[in-house]
Amino acid sequence: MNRTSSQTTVELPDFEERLCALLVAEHARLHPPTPQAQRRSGARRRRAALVVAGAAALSVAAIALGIGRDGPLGPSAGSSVGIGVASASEVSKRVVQSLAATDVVLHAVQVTHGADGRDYRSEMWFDEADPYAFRQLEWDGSSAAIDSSTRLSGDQLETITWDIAAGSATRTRIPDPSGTGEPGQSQSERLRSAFEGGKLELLGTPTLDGRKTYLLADPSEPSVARRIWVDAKTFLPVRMTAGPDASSYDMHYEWLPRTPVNLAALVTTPPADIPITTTAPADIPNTTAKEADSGKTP
Amino acid sequence: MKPPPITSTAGLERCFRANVGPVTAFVARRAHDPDMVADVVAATFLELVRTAHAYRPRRGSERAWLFGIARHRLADAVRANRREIPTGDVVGRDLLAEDEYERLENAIDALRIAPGLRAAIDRLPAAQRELVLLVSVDGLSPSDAAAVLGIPAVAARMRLSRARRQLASMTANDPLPTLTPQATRSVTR
Repeated sequence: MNRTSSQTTVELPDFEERLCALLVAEHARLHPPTPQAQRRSGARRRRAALVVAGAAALSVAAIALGIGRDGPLGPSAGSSVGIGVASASEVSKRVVQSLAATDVVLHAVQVTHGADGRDYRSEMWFDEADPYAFRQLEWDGSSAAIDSSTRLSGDQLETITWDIAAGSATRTRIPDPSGTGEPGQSQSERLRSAFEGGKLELLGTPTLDGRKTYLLADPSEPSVARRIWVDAKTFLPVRMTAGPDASSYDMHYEWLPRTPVNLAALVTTPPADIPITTTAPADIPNTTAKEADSGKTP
Repeated sequence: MKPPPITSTAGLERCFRANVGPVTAFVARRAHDPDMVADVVAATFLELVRTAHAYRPRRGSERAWLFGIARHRLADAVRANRREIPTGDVVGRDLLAEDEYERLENAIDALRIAPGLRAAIDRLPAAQRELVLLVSVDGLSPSDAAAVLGIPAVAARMRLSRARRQLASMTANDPLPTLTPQATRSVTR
């Protein structure tokens, strides 16, 4: 965060002081400093829900590209199951248990609703046993446009990017991935944290794509309006939505066994007639505030 | 010494003072007028007070988290086409001193992205556009921008790389500045 510490700021001293005073007053109103309240506050913090971001619509894309896969975990999607768990906390507890498994390949399809009214779709594959392994397929309308995958190769982080439309492919190697923010949390960890806070509410038990689900909502961030569908049989999240605003998304999850076929889906493999050019690591824009400001801000 | 957590009064004030300037700049780049900026900034920090317990440092910096909240508050403002964002008892615009309205107006102009480059960025797909703005304009690291957008860091890096290539390709045939590091700096002027 050193880069942002010097970034452009706008200083409004009177506004800031007045707002700060109001915030402190609001904080005191919400958290009265009695010993009892302090104990409650501590408990709330321990229970607090972590919010997960993500999104998706399923494996049409993989099929279109001919990506092989072994079937999803648990019973078939169409199987009828009873809804035997009544509370959000019990569902959350079961989900946390289900997400502890690492012998899983997660396939997620994300549809982001753009401010321009268009939907942007991308697919992602994660190897839950290898946090560096990741593949992303971005779509332009009904055509696959960019296929990229990353994996740890020796001590180097290797990315292969196949620009399908342009018919070219590149390989980039980062010698030392430390400091790049990777691998970060696995998708299971991120999802799990949403269920660990005990803040989810059970909205109902709708049928989604022919399977019974638990529908939960996260009321801790009402503006995000996040909803999560959990398969009633496997207790794995199968869909998450957020919105409805310009940045909202719809994410579908498919949990696949960690078989050689499904692991192969994590690797971008351009056709043999497209040579892979090795390039230097991406030059990421690196604006710093001091350079950018030039005394322009008040 | 470990800084106080943002769930405490001292931590809240520390977080506010460290981030109010950048958050105001972040909002000013995207808002139409000083009233909207003041309302969104006030709404953002009020939400910080009310949801501080949900913040987890491992998911990103406090600033990235605040930018994420501000994004949603801005979307609320734009979607509802309201000039006033309801935040309970607090209306941000009422907190502005007389001279601050004008200063904020000047800041909005100063922070506006150069029209040529803005046009190129606007032609990017929505997901890439927001990422470019967060990293190149707002100065977040790719990892923090990923946290704001709720995507993995590795996905952000890939997306950013593609966005830069696309921008370079767009601007190659247009009389627009390219997104070289030097041109990137002009984005914030």
